[in-house]
Amino acid sequence: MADTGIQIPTDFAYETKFPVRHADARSAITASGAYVSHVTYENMVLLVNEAFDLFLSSTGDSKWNIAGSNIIVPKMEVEFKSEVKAGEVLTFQLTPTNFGNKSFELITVVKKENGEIASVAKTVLIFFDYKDKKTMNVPETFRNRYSVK
Amino acid sequence: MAKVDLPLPSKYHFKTEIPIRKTDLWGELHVSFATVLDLVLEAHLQFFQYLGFSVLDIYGRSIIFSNATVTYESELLFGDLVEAKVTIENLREKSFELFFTPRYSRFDNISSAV
Repeated sequence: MADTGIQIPTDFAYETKFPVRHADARSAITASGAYVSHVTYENMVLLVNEAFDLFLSSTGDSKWNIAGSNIIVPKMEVEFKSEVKAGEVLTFQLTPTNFGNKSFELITVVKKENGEIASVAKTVLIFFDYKDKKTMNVPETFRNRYSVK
Repeated sequence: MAKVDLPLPSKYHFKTEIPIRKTDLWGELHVSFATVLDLVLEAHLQFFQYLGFSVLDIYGRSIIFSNATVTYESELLFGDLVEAKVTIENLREKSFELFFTPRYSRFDNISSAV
């Protein structure tokens, strides 16, 4: 499959860093006899999600209340660029982009301490009313905060 | 039940910092009594890594846990930074005790908007 690649923004709305835990890594003896212990692909999604929670809390928001609304995630795309091990401190750069009427894309770039990119994730988010079970427009306060960037 | 009295060690052999994550919370509330042991396991694994061992290979041997005593002193929330100190005590022929003494503070300084 052709790798179209996620376009990496030049500016980010938020940056945070936190250490990788042993619980984020998996260890095993491989078929060739090598001992491997690293962050596996599914756990990288958890780390990207944690960075998203920290991003939301930096403005007093949470997944339960983003500018008075909620979101659903219809699509996520993740690229894995380099190996990450327990004990490393990762930097997460996040920025909302490509605003539509009801949706936006959240780009997350995960970097290692040496500046190397570990992962790039693109998460599509749609604002959603769980009571009416309907998609809804991006709240103006949220749009104004990020769409000008 | 009478409160268990765990005398805190005066020194420690290893120290690590663990930021509390959203996924550590139970019901979006706080760190549950069960998840506290996950944090202890994390400090435990980091301690043996720091000593240069895999917990599965300590001079060719491994270890099992026979019991754990936990006292809960204060509430841990999202945004807290736990500093876990690890101390080895009561080394015997086949066993030893590990003390994990966590202290916590806010880690707002780590997360910053740019």
